[in-house]
Amino acid sequence: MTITFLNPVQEAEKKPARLAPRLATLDGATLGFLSNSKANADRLLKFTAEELAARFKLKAMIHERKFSAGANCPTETMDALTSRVDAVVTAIGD
Amino acid sequence: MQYAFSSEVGQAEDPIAFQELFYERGWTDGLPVVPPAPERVAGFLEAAGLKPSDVIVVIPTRNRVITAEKAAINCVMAGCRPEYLPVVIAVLQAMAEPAFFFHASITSTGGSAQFIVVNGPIRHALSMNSGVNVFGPGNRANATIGRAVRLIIINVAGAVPGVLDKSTQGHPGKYSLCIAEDEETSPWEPLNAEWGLAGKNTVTVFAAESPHGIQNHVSGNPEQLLLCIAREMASVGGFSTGQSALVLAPEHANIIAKSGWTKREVKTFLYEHATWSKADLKRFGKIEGQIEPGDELALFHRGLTPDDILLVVAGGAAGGHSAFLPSWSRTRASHFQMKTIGVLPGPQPLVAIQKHPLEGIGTP
Repeated sequence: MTITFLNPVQEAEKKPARLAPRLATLDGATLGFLSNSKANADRLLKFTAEELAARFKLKAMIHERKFSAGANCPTETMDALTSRVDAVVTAIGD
Repeated sequence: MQYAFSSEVGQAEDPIAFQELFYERGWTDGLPVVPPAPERVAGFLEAAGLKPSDVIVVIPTRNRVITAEKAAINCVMAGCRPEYLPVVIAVLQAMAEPAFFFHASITSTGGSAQFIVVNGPIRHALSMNSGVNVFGPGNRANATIGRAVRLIIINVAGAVPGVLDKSTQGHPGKYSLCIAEDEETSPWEPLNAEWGLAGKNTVTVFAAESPHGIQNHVSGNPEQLLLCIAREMASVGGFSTGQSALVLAPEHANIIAKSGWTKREVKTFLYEHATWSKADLKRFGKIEGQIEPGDELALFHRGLTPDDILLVVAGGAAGGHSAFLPSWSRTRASHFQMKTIGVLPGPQPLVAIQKHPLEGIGTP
């Protein structure tokens, strides 16, 4: 007895995305740091910021946090950050 | 009625081959499923007055859209009857409210299950269980409504166990954790009335850790019994400032209510007594840091207000066995939501249950 069925799976809608152009150097750059708001993400970003500051002559560093690790970063937060920086480092911690 | 489905149609040579195929593709919860034949899925949609393309909810974090067609397919697979579909849809609508954090609650290491409480006349129409063995097996609606939600989480929301669902352990409620409130036996107003929807068919959904049993067959004293319950609500392993649910057995509820306690007074008492000092939480390693002056007197409650306790009455008439279900989250990463059943499709207005929309939410 042949069984006929409908596929139960819904795939995610795929949106085209492209990588931002790479910076030639971080010397003189303003770097943003975006945390997913978990404690160890903050720690990872802190160490990363210290390491980058030791290696490059950064102009400034700006730190932002997502409201919750469980939700998308609000567009306003991302726009506010990207308008002030040359590059963003983000981290997912737990 | 003829429907134009967007889903791919497949075939298996016999029922056993069908089960093996679905299991191998990761489309089940590990148990056999009912074949979602097109005519069966059509029957579900027709009964609910839905078109296949109707959008039930959108999950922005994953770019996922849950359509009526996919919801119905997974309801068929779970073993639902057609009349359960509107309940499942209301659950999904509740989960899609921002403060529920749909994506986090289905993927976090915390491993929550969707604790579903059904209120209103539909409980009887669907022959749901609110009594003996309320969390256990034996009732089709209780078993399959929760199961359908789980299958939708896997197949449509994409939280495949071990892939996107990263529950460290999970718990058995992830197969189904759906009950009806025993409104007729409860000495207090039921959940829907408590939140301004008296007499309406509603679902309340809470991302919950596994139930903790509370057995007390000795005390006939309300204060004693409530202290016993409060101690379980403050069990240190599951302790957080997150919300929680308490399912009181009728015997416990009546011992408390016959002395004149209102539902509000019960929740306030539990909130005031389910506590730990900051010093103790540091001793147990639940929070970081050395004990400092003032920590012994600084109290953390289970929740931020008495309204953070979802109080439900359900279970068999005999026995002093209640259950406490903490939030899965270590903080306040998800808030319970209520929706009326049968408002289709699309989002419904929020009801009063969303008193603390996004305040105090931390990380899962």
